[in-house]
Amino acid sequence: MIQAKTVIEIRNISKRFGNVIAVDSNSLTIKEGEFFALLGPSGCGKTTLLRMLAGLEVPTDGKILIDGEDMQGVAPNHRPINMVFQSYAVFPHMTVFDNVGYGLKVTGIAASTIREEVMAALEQVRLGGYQDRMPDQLSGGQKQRVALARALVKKPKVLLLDEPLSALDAKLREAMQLELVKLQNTVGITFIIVTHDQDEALSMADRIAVINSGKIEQIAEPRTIYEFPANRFVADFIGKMNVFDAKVAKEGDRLAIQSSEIGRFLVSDRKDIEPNRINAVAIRPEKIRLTGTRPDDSLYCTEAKIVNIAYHGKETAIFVEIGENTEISCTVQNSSRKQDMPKIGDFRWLSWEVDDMLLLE
Amino acid sequence: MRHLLPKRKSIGPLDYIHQRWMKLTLALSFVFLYAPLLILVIFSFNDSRRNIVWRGLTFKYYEKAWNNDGLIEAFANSLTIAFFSTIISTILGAMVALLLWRFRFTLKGVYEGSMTLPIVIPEICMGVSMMAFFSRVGWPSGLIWPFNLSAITIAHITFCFPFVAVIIRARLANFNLEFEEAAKDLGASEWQFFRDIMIPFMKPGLIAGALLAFTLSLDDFVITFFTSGPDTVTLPVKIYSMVRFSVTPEINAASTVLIAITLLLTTIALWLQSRAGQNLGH
Repeated sequence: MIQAKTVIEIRNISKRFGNVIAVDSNSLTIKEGEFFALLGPSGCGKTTLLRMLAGLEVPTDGKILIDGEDMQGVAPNHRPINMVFQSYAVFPHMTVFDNVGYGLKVTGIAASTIREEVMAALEQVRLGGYQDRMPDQLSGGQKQRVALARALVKKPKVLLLDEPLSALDAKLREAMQLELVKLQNTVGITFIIVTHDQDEALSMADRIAVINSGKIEQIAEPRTIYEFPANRFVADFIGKMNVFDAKVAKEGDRLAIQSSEIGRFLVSDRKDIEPNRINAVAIRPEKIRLTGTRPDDSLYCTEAKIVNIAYHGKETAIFVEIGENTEISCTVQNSSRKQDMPKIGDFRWLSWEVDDMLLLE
Repeated sequence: MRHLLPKRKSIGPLDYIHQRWMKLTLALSFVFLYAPLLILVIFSFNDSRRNIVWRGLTFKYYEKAWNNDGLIEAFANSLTIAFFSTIISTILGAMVALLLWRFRFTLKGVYEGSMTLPIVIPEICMGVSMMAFFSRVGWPSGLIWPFNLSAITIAHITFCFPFVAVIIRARLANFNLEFEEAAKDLGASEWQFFRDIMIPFMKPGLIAGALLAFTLSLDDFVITFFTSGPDTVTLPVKIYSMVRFSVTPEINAASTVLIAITLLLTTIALWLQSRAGQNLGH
């Protein structure tokens, strides 16, 4: 793989609003052509981080370099960056054409060039033929395409998208996810998207930064974020997770786990782990198996009572109880119509691969 | 004893089937509002010198009013004053609205409240204070036209611009701040943003405010009365002085013209505002 060039470098950036620390000394590099997601719960500072990149907020501390150039004191209208706003901010008194062409017009580009580029941009976002419409004649999804075209027509080095899909309904959102990825592949521009929706981040991004109360908790590819979350916050925030308090000790070449909730068992040693800092273990619901007969000994295994069932169509969430008051949620794929469906009060064997367990600090 | 709910719901005062009350309210409000005006308009076409009995249709009093030099001069004065005070109070009102919308400063609440003072203060007091003010500062009188109208124009600006400010301020409340950020993000400078986004956004408010200022200025009597001199008579003041001699259909005709202009401008203002509202439909 060719080593891609760094397009954005963020060094120890912080933002305080009065006494509130919105962004707390984060560093981050983003490569050219990357689809990067800033993911976190609302109020975690991800939008503030994005707005600092656009120049709409001034960092309290730290540096932003775009293409190696320090952005301190550079106004938003002089940055090689464009943004798609959460409300789309399509100017209501201008036609689609004037909206998309606005960024070119203010920089004094010739009308004929503007016409060509605007038409090409509208074609790119599949809005060909809509150039004379007013914004109030467009649906939410179409307005968003106008906002996209308006930003792309400027040929920025980086395109920022602030919660671009949050206002769309579920079906359209899924279609738009695929379309954004396709669009990004065609134009080859770096996309940075802010989202609170983990599905969105996981399915679209090349890399994700998970942010919690102003701090980046983990930066990694989607699969790493999901399968190897760096800490308890990431594990809990991404997907569903059964977390148990536990103590870990070295035992020869393995690790012994002692939990008051799920008992004692051994897992393989992991290089990146300091046993005495671990205070919890976790397993994802879909990695748990429910069987009628006892599985073989290589698996962690215990008997469980079914206490609740939630049918979701493609899958069923089954809540079981082991021992005293320890509830575990498992997900069963409904891959066949003939599948055995347990009932509340039934007993089943609960098992999982010990090495699918996460050890959390 | 248990209270039983009645089988049929009793009809409340705001029930939708209350057609009779609704019609009565409609009729009453129309009578109160329009009966005097209607009589004024009808009798402007009355072929009688004395304005009491209907003696047939004529347009001669319109003609007479048209040929009355004093009346026409007063009308020209009114239009001139309205024109200048509209332009200045629209600009001033827009600036006040922008100030209140955009900035924070100490005692802003007090300032905002004081802006509405000319709207609530009794007109007679405004008129007297204007007269006292102009005589105190020794405002020159007897200048050539149109400078002789400056005192009235200034007085009109005083009570017009707060109305403009209120209208534009209300419009600005709907401004999405992301429009500004988007414009700047796309490369617009502060001034380009102001010209391309802000002013077009305010436009319906500017037009509505200007039309309102124009009609307020055109119709004003009390404040004008206190600030006008013998050679600076406006149409309402002229009509008043004519009424003091006798109520002729000529006065009715002049008043009808004034009503027509006011009505037309107000309708345009309302129409523009509703059209702009549709354009904004998010």
